[in-house]
Amino acid sequence: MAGLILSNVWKKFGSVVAVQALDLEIRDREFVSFLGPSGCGKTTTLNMIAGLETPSEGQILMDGLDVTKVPPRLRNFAMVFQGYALYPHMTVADNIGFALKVRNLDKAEIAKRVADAAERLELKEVLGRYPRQLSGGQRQRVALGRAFVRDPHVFLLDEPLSNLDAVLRVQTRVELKRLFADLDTTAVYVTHDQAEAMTMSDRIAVFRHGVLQQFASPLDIYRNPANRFVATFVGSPPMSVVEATLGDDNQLRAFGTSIALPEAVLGKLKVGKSYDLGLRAEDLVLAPDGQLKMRVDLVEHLGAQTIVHLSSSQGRLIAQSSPTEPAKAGDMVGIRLDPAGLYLFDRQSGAAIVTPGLIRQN
Amino acid sequence: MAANLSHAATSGFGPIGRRLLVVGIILLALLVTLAPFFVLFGNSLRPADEFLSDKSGLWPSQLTFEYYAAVLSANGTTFRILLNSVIVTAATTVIAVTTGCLVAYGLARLKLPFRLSTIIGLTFLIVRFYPKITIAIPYFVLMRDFGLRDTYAAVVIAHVSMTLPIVVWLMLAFFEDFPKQLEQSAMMDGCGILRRFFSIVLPLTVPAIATAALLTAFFSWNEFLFASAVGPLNAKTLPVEISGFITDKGTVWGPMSAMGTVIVLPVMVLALIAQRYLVRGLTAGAVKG
Repeated sequence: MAGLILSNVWKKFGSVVAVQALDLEIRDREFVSFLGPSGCGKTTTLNMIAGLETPSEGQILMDGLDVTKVPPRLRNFAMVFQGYALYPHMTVADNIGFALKVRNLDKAEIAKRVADAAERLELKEVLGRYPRQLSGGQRQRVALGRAFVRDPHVFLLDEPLSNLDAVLRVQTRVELKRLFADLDTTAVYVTHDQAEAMTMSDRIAVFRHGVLQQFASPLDIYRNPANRFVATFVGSPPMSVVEATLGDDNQLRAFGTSIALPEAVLGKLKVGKSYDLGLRAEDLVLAPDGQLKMRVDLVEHLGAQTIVHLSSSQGRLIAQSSPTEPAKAGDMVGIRLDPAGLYLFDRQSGAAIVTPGLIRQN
Repeated sequence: MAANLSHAATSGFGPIGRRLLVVGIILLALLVTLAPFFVLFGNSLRPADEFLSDKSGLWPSQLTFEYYAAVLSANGTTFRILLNSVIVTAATTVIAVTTGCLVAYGLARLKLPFRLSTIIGLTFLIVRFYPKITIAIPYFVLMRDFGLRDTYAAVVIAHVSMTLPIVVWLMLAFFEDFPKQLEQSAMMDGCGILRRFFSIVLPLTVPAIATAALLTAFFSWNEFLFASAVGPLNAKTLPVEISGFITDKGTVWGPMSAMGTVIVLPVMVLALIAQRYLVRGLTAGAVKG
């Protein structure tokens, strides 16, 4: 168990900057996710923490110790790879015990620890098999077992669930969360799946184009995003973004209607200026008396909820309704906006100016 | 050809005719490949007087085993030469494969500047392109100057220098295709470069190494030019011995054929046993599995 500090870390591959000026502090026993689209620098950052890549600039500290140039084998970090990277020529037991064998532990101790890990991961029956004889889920558990058995300072997980099918992924996500709650150890988890990041993490670091966008708790990321990218990347269905202008009456004009703003946020806005208005589906309620009139384009039934795609001459929105409210494509419906659920972003920089989190604080 | 075949398929021949055609082509290929061995084997059993008769067929009318008896009992000379061949082949194979694997792994994994890996790799390939006879004389001079002439070392050094490029080239392709994550995983598990190579990479490249070893062994076992240049007497190998049957009094056909059969047999048996590995090894890397 250990805390990690990344201080002004850069990684360049030739002229390509994969990670720039990254400052990040991961606390001891914290579960942190790196979230972002592919190519955003999250895996490169993980590899630098692992020691598989060396930063072009900057320092990585573990419990105050500079490990920037320490080779991976001396760091005692365990890693679960995206493709599992099980050794094909070794049995499950040998795969799990390999790191211990390399450390010259005695055979009885290795056998005991392998048996413990197998027990915990329900792998007892397959210890004698080879990776090619296992199902996807079992391989994934062997990869985890290989990490658990070592008692490492830090766990590093690189999209460990991405090779599983949808049902197994959700199931394994829950199991993982339980396992890590028991282990109570530092873990860094790379994913492009926001549901994994939201459900498992103490804090999420959102990356884009090699730049850290925000590092905060899941609810903060959701309700208090630092900018338009974070706001639109996190959340399903995705946030709708439309242009809006602040009128002289301190009301926001969008979709040909006016929206009253809470007093507290007016100081941050300029009359006559245009902003990007972000609206999450759950803050848009279908109601006959709603101030906004829009046409239903498409209805997606998900069972527990229904997603309604709406349009008018002014733009498009995605709203959520309960499955009991019938809405059909082609219907005209009314929408009620919840002013406490508004997000406003600077149109140029994308920086968040007003968020629900902010509104609530005031 | 394709037009003819499709013509044959739509009219005349029918499916049976097409199958016969295919079988015919395969038989022809087999005939071309195997006919020399048939003649060689036939001659090794042919009575001496039949060699001079112009009426004798491809297969002798009478069989004799006297050449085998003579060749195999020639005061142990044949066994000594057979032993020479075995020693030279084994030493060449072990040295070329071990060194070649390490060189190839280094080239595949080290990040050398200025595309040095490619340049070194290409150099290894280019040395395969010129006629070998051009350096047979320099080798002779070198070995003489080093005092190694007519020793096992001389023949083995010559053979290693000829086979190392094949091994490096073959293994380089293999190591470059080797899944990077497996090695990274081994690094995370605490392995340094040697442990990684011997515990993870080596066991998983056995088919390629077997292929490299077989190709090297076949080359060394069959090689004549360098063996005769640098090891004419004490380090004489089987192919050199065979050439000795061509004398100024004529060619001694019978014993020569018997000796030829003795040389070819082990190669054939080995190739048959290893054919599965050979095909897998030579085509690996061609298609991503």
